Amino acid sequence: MKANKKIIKYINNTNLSRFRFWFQIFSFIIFVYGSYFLIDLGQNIPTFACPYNPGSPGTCFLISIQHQMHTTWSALFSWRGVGFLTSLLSFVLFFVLFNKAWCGFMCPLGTIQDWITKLRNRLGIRFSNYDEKSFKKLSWIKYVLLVLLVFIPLAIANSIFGLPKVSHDMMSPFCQICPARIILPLFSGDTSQIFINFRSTVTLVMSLLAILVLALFFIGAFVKKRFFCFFCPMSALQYLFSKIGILRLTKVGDKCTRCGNCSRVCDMGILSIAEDVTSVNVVTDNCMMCFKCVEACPEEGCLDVKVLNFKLFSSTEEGFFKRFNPAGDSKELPPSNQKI
Amino acid sequence: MKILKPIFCSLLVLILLFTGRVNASEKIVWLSNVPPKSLKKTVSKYGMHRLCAAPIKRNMSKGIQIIQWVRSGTSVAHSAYVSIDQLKKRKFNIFCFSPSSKRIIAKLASLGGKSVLKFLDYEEGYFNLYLVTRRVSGDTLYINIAKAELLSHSCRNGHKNVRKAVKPKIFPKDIPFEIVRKRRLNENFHFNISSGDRFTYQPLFYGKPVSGILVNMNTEKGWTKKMTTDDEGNVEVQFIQDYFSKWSEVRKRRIYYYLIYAGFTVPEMGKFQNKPYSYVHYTTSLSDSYYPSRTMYLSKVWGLVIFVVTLIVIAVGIFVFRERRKKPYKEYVFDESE
Repeated sequence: MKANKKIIKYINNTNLSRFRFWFQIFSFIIFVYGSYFLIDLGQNIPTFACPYNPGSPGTCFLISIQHQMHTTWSALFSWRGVGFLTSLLSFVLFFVLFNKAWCGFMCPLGTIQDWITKLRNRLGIRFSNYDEKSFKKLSWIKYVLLVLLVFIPLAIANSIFGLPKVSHDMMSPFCQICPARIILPLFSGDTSQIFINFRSTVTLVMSLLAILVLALFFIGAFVKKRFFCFFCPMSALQYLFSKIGILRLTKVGDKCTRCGNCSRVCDMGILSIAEDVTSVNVVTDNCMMCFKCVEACPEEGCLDVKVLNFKLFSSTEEGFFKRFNPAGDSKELPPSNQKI
Repeated sequence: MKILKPIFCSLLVLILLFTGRVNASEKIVWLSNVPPKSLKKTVSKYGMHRLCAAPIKRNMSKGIQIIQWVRSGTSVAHSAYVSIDQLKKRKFNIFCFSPSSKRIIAKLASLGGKSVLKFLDYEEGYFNLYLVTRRVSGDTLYINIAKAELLSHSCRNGHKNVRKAVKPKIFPKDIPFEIVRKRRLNENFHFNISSGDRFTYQPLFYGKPVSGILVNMNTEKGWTKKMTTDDEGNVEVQFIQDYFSKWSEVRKRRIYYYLIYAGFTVPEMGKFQNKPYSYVHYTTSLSDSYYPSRTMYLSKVWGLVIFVVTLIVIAVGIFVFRERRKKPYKEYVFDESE
């Protein structure tokens, strides 16, 4: 029992952000260079494993959806539909294991944004945050993108409401504007994705849009933490299945003092984590399960990371002071002349 | 009954093999502008189309010797260079025609043990060079016609008679079977084929198009295409983009080569070198060069320029937005005595 308590104490006092930093590097190597190590994770990965990147060990599920939706209604509701359901099941099985931690710990595009944030920190430039109104309004964009990436391929193969079919050049519409398509191949030395496609008006507009989104991605990530994640349709899709994830982030509202530490450290700027004292499951559509909130919570057992009902990592007063007070386990702040 | 079918097929194949009706081992001989790796330094490149030439010295009054290498096989990258001894074993004729359709002298020579055809370049426009080899195998006379259309141009020589000089020419009196690339209206001395371009090729048998024969095309990068000539004897080819740019390969002026060849057999009785034959198999090849797509680099440059401009505009926009939100410094002085 004593040994168990020691292990739990060690885990709760650990600096999870540091672990996350190294885990992200490991995941980045897997999802960007995995195929060079003969890793094959299939075609339904719940994170940006971009097939345009020659080193990718698999395919992001979004491209699978777009390909499978590019079919006639009759085909979709026959055996092809079974194929889609199998893909979806495979995606869900992957997703259920880590829930939205796929975004916080494994997404290569998210990792790049975190590196850009670190660079901004080093340069001493302040970051921006959305106000509450903008936050709520912008949160819908990812759902709109998700709906479009499903319906545009369907509208290529079918006439919807008697309207003319959409141009074939709109195939895989989200991939055409996704910054991962351009950025991730660069890490394998492939520069071929930076282009303006002059083949048709549609390809011209889409490739132009892709370049604009790319520029917006870099600048956005520089001034706003995890800028792109806010608009990511993968995040929206994941949230639809978030409730069945075995990895959970829970809150005991009675223990919350509404100090606001959790929302202040949140890279996504989620306010509800501090304000909501009634919900147990505090994972929202914008949450990426980085668990910075748990690290920053000084209340004993207020926020917990659980696998099913087993507590994996909990907020503790001691852990909070260990992480945020480098003077040691003392609850007092270090003297002012001491270097931090 | 089931077992009879394979036995019958095997017997048929054996009969055809022994009677010489099937002879798939006949390799195509073609003319290449690319020297073997070991001899690259011993030759020069001449003119804007970088024709392989004998070493060029300043003030050469005798003109430039253009060289074409004799190769055997169908792979553009890996075909063997035919040695002079191998070629001399065959009966061959060399024909060379100047841009003004005059027959000029072209010679067979040895360069590092490999066979080359040489001729003196003295005129602007397309030189047509042919190597015709004949050989009897079984009951078939194999006639292989290797053709090269070499556009000689150096801007210092001027740009006179462009239209006439770039026109395709055929010589049915001397060359029984050859492939002609139909010209575009905009072709001039500076014209190059590029990936993405569509061209029509026409195999001509004694000056007349042949329909329904197989035409093969191979590129240096390994792309192959098989086509059959239509009713008018044409095949249309769109050069695919088999050139993908890595940083190390970003060269707009990199030249790639292709080989197009066609063949067919006609029943014709005769004797060649005292050997009788019942069929004549004609094969002709044409090798030329192509460049990477014209728009490939343009689309990349546009992509990069738009990216950089957008990056700068957004960055400046955010900077200005932040500066405008800054409130000016104000000092409030409280007089505690009041």
